[in-house]
Amino acid sequence: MNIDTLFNLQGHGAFVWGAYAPVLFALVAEAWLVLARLKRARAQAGAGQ
Amino acid sequence: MTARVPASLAEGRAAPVAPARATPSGGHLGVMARDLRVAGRQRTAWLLPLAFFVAALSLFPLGLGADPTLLRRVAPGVVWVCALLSMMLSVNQMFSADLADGSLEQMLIGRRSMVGLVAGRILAQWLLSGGPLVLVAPLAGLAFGLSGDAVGVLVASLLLGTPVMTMLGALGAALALGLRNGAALVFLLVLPLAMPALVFGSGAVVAATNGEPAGAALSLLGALLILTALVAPPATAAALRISVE
Amino acid sequence: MTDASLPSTAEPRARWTRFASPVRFEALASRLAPWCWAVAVLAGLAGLYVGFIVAPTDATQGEAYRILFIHVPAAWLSMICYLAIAFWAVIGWVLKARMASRLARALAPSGALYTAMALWTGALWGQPTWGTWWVWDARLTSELILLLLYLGYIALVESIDDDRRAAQAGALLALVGALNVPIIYFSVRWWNTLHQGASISMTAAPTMAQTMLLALGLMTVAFWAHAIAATLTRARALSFEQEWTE
Repeated sequence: MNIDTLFNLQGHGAFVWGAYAPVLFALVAEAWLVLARLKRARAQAGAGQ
Repeated sequence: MTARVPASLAEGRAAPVAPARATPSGGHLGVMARDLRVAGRQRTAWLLPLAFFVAALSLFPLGLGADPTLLRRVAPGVVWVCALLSMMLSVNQMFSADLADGSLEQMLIGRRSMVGLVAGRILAQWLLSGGPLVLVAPLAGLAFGLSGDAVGVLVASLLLGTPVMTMLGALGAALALGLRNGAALVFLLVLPLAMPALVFGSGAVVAATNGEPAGAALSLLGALLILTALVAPPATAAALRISVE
Repeated sequence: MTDASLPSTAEPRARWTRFASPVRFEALASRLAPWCWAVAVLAGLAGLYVGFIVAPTDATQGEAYRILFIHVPAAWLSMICYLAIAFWAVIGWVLKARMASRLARALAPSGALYTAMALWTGALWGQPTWGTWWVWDARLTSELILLLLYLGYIALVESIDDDRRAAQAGALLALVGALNVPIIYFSVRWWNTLHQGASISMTAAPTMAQTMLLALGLMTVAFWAHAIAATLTRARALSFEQEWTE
């Protein structure tokens, strides 16, 4: 499968990528946000002591 | 040592301004009787949910158009949804007065079983917000063009279903007791839990409008009522304990 | 940060209850989480590769079926996370183990996210395959109600300032919700047949070739690993926020 077919996907490209893109983005974003929250919490805990 | 002292005398507190919802000395029946006396004086307690019910019902013909066939088809769902929403409106304040005048804490300190209070409140709440709906339902059914049989099933379904909704509402009110966005939160907590009752209740009426027997749906609703009656009041009592301690 | 400054917990009876201590949990989670992130990334990349490059086009559904590689794991996890919340919440309540309650609370945002993903991908799968964006069938409707249960749980727990009350109230709500889930699912299925609604089953996956199954398996592993890593990290953050700032 080359790049063209990968995006077009027999005309269903919009649906498949419309499904995958937000999901993958959300998974990465969640990971990033939760790690940032941990970092913030540790910093505050360290400062509080 | 734990004498049942009315809250107004306990610890030199000034007599509560609100009508005496003090520590019930008559168990849950005493609670219920007192609530109903209060409600008799404050008519808004039961008029408001009823008025909302009627108002909400009226929105649908206005929004959907007055086509009788359409209204007859949507009637089961519409009446049920309006009933559910109107009951949720008033449920939020079920325990807030007890919390405010301290009688909740008193009961917990006295280590009394909360289930009595819960049962009494639920009974009173249903009589105020559920019962009137059941009485008015025939009018609603006729206004939407339901046949006589269907109206009968509607009343039966609401008779079984409104207690379920009151009990679930009590649980939600107990969990969200005293929280800032309590009212909206109770809706969010209770509506998903109330969906099975809605499905069975309106389903029974739909069956009746199609000329099919509604027995199956009503039995399911009845089973749901029994299950809820067994689980919800103890859970509500536990929730009260969690919320106050 | 020393052991002495932390509130003590119950004496561990079995080995696994050692981790009821926030300190030991932190030690375990901080070592486990990076591995889980790594597994998630690797399995995810492998799954995407197999799913798009290796797996063939489906005879009946064409290319759109590839959505199932994320729809199915998301749906599974949405349900598993909710059960896990109820499980840990009850453990935390009954054994009075704060860390268990924290795990329950940490699971909720991830679970809600997976539920939303399942709904989103389900809709996008439905449109090219069956012609409708949304179908009020039993599974999708139950999934929607599950999302509402998650949102209710999160709203309740976040609204309560006192951590102990939040944990206990959340546990009760999660338990009531978990008991309700079979009832809700049954009632929605019953409702679906009553109204002769859509009999389309969104789970009607195409008969799967080996490579498709492999891709699905890899993506499932990836989702699980991501869920575990995110939950552990969030639980760690909760520990720092709740205990080690006082």
